[in-house]
Amino acid sequence: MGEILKVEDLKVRFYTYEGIVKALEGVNLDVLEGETLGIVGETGSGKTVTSLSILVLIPPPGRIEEGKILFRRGKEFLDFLRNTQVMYQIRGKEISMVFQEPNAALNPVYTVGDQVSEVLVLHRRKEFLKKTVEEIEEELERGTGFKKFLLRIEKKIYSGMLKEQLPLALRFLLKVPILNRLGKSRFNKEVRNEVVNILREMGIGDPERVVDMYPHELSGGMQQRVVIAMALACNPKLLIADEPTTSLDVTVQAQILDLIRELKEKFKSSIIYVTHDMGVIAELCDRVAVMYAGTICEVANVLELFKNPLHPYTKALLESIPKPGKELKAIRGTVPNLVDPPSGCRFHPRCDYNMPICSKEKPELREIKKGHYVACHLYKR
Amino acid sequence: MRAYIARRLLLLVPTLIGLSILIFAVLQVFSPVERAALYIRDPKAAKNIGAIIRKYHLDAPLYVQYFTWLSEVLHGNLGWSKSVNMPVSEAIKTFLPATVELVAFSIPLTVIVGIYLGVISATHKDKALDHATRALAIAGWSLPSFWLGLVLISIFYGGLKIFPPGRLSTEHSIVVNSPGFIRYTGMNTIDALLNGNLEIFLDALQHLILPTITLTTINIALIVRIMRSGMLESLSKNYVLAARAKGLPEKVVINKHARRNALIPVITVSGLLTAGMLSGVVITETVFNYHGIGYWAANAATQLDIPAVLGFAIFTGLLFIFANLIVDLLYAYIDPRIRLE
Repeated sequence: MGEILKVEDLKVRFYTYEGIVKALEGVNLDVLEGETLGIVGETGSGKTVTSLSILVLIPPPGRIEEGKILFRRGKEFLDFLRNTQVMYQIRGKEISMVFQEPNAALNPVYTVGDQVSEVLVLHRRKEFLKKTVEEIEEELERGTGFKKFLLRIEKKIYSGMLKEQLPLALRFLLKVPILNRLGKSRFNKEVRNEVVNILREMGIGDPERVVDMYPHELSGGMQQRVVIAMALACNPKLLIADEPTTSLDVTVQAQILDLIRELKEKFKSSIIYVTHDMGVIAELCDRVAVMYAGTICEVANVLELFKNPLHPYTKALLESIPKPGKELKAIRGTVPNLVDPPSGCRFHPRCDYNMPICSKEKPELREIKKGHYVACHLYKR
Repeated sequence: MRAYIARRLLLLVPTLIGLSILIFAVLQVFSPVERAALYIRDPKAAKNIGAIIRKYHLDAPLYVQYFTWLSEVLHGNLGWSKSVNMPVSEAIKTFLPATVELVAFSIPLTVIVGIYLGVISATHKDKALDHATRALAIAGWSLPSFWLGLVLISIFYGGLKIFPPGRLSTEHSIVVNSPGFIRYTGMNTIDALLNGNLEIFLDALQHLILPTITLTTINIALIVRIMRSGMLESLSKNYVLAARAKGLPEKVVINKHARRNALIPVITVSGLLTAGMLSGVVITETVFNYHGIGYWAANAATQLDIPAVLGFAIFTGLLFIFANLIVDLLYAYIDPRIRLE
């Protein structure tokens, strides 16, 4: 199993009126093929910024200052921070994303079908055109007379679109809305059928009806299923799920988690699962990266991390999970303001093991045991 | 959608009744004799005032008066406009097409260019293009229309001798008013085309250019600003991020996903702007000696032509009611959440 994605030394800054927010400070991450990597941390630790950076989606006033985002395609790694062309091909097709609040991630003025088919038409156009041409050929064998004549014209249009050699006049005619709908009705039907199939796979009952519904007519759980459908429409190699269950209630949460697990089995894609919920991490992930104030402080296998946490922050985080009969231990202090973050290790003002070096030098992420990385001066060898 | 339209149309009934009662109430300020005078065409006929009072039941109980008045209004009898010497309904029919023609050229220009500039301004937020667009728009908004109109006339008519004021050149207006020329709509450009007279069409167009530019320059800032703020809001929404994450090119993200959501406030303002313009762009019409409905109403008001003013009030009321109706129907078309409420 090799890496499918490598994030190297990522630095993200937000230029706000209060000052420069140092949101990410040298983040390094690897995602292996077929694995589920959890990213866990408090609100404001940079989980979402990390996942948005992977798709180069940081909204202004944010900017990716430094670093590389390398995505494997075949044998070579492509850095799409420096190659916009590649980025547009990869977004939505090979890496896709599920957002935190499904009702915000769906455009209120377009139907579910519209929004899902958009991805299909964008990335799988050729496949559908081929299918349509084949279908017409089949009908041609049976057709007679005038119908055969019409089918021949249709075939010409579709194979022209497939080879991208449509005559200029036809291309112009297809720009007219009504003619477009008429001329491409077969293609649109093909796409719609696929949308219905995908929705059914996502566990949506009655998908034929849901295709024509608007997002606000669906419940939160259903909306999230639609968002996941959009993300998985092209069988991506990597799915980034940014707290997909946070805004849903508990029973729906469990359903969505089950769905993600099922889909992972089926599509064999890698998943980056961003959450602040340790329970979900334990249930779903293979490896975990713990983030604090824009840095990664520990990366390890799930079992290893829960059994043998090394970083003081991870320890504190695991102790702060509520357990019956035990007093809840909160981490003292608050998350630092990233406009003016603490020097050295960003956790040192809240750390119980604070040493003089902690405020002076930023600890590097080092492999302590096999596969267990930690960024802390306690474990200097 | 159909239920929404039906409900919206039903709502028209109480609104229209409300409007009629309001205007009828204004009429009650006058005594029966004064109200009878509204229907008199010739001052010499004043001695028949008793007959007119009896004819229109002006001394009957209020409800009888209201229904008589309403049925007269519905039959198009709004009184006699002494300032132009014709019935009020006839005057509206004469002067309205000119204004409609002017608005039909100005509003699409304002709205389309305004939306386009608003989108550009929002997508280039805080860059030079954004600042330039906003500065120009605000400059246009701040210009008094009479000043802009006069400057345009002095440059393009006084200096360059193109784009004259008025609605038509003298020789063409003779043709237009001759019996051989059929007036289908009263709008010079359309009538010229329907009569197959290209020369008149071009002449009418020439006369329309300056007032259209004036109205567009003055009103465009409104659309630009509203479109800009709407776009900025929808561009910051998660669905725009999601659209980008799908791999859609920036053009589709902006023109499909962000723009449609930003259009709703623009529709409201465009609707009101249209109604406002139709009910009189007095200054612009006066500056360009363009005889539209605003020109008539302003004249009537200065000459104490009360039937004309009242007729104009009814007309304006109706206009706003229907503008709101169209705005509401467009809302429902653009935003499905409104349809289903």
